[in-house]
Amino acid sequence: MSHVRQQIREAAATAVTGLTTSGARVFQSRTRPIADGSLPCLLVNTDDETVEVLTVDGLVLDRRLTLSISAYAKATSSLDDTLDTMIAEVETVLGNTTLSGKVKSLALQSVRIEMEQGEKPAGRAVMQFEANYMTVANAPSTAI
Amino acid sequence: MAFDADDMDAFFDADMPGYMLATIGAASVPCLFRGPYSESLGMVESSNPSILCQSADVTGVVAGTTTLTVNGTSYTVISTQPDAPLAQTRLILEEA
Repeated sequence: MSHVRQQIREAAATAVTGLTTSGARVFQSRTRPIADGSLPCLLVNTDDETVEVLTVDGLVLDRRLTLSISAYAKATSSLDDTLDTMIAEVETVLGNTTLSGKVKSLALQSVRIEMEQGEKPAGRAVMQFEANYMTVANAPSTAI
Repeated sequence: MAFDADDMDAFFDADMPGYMLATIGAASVPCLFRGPYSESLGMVESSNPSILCQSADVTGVVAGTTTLTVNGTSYTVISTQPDAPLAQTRLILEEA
């Protein structure tokens, strides 16, 4: 069975699939360049994670995983508005969820916007959520 | 012997790679088009289109305002980059 990290990433990707702006263009852990036909889109990544041992026997782990949702768009006008709309759409579905009980909490920690000139301006909004979940040390596939 | 206008015209000969005519208003301006592949933000497939022109042909171009057509595509000029010693100007383009 998959690690809870993977379960969280997959559940988050499912949750943000079908949003008005990005539709079905949701990609997990994507490294390949994004062509125009795949824009606007959302990239879902599970990044760094900190782990705190809660019990003396070392068995219960309190884990805080950084879940990154990156919104990409390309437009000749109102790119900032498009990115802000995508942020709002993501926050609406992830702002108050436990991803079907996989996390104790999912809290938005930061939003970073970047834009770059090309044949059309391209932009990225990176939303970092802290996903708090717990496991037993030798059972990383089961959230407790 | 110094370069003269005829020498500079040779740079914009129809045999030069990327040679095209840009339509700027009512004028057809000889230019060399470049559009190298790039990846915006390290992820988004893109290109950086520009044309190199003789400066005398693009004196009226205003960055952010002037639009032109090259090879059937309409662009807005977003930057003018003159090279005074060569009397050439590169126009950085964005799809309109």
